[in-house]
Amino acid sequence: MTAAPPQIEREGAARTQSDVDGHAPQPAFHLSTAHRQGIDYEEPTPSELPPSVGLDAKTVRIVSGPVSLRTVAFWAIVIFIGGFLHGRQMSQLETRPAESVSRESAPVAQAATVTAPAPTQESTATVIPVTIRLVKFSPETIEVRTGQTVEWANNDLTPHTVTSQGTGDLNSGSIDAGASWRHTFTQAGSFPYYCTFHPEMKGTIIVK
Amino acid sequence: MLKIIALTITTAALAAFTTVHAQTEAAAAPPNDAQIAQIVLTADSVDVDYGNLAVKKTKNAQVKAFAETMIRDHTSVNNQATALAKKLGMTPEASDTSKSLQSGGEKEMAKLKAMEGAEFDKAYIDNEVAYHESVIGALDKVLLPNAKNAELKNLLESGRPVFVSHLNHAKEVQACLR
Repeated sequence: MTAAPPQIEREGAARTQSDVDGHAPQPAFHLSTAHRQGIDYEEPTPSELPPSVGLDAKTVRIVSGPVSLRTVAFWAIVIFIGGFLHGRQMSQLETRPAESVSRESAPVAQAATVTAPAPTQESTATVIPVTIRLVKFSPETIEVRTGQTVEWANNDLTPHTVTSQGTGDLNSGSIDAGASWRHTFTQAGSFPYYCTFHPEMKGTIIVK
Repeated sequence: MLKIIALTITTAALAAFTTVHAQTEAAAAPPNDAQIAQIVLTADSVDVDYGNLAVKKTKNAQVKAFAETMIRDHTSVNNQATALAKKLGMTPEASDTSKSLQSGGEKEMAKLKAMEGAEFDKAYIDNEVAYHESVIGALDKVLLPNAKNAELKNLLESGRPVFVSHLNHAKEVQACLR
């Protein structure tokens, strides 16, 4: 790895992100290989020379050598196209880590859904568990019998609430990360609730 | 004339190469776990600072509720990140990324402090949208792929949906402010 030449600032409001992006994890190895395959008849690895040296060598050859204009133009176009293709490979590689991560992280979210009891499952246990994790109630919908208690265990990183939507008397207040809250249902009906801190988190208790 | 054109194109081509390779060099230094921990801590505390300012300044109930959630959630995530670092015997380590998050946060705070009323609300929420987008981008592209310790990785994976929920919440408030 040679020293990085200066002046690689990127523009844009999301400065913090571009800084972070600068550390994208793809190594240079594939790039260099691809780039050499793409333009292997080009002069050897201009990238390994400091930019000024690369320019000087090129300039000297063009000016002093008995090289025809056609040759100069040919090499210029070759390098230009090579640079363009190389740049495209770079930008494709930059997007790759994000894709692979979203693919990797998908099973995590799915696993949370799969391990939870099936929605609308009925249980004879006195205390029916609902887990709060990854900013979700799980299971989102559950059936219980009159007189049963539901316990919400907050296994998430942040506080959440269990609060009735519209009518209903679910009002847990803040349930801290690691804490839990119980409510006993004494009347039949459907009780939709949400988290006041994260309004997109919703669930329903169906009492029979 | 043709010579000049050829020289110009060559120069431009070499300049393009230089830039691309410079980016490659920068990409070759992924953060270690201690640096990732510090990036998380800094990202959280910067947003808590924004939230504290917003709670003081805003008169809009939606903006205030959002800011309170940011303070509550990012404080909670930070507490757990700190506890995990302690448990692992890891000392969070500053990096260029955490330093630039910090200085970027300070600059934005200075801008926000100079604003009042609806102008402040809009600037605060717009910044929250952009900030959470960039934090999620950093999580996906840099932090998650490079985290080695399983518990640290788990913390990041659990944090992601929190930040996504904040981004959605911020966008909803943003739409209401228009």
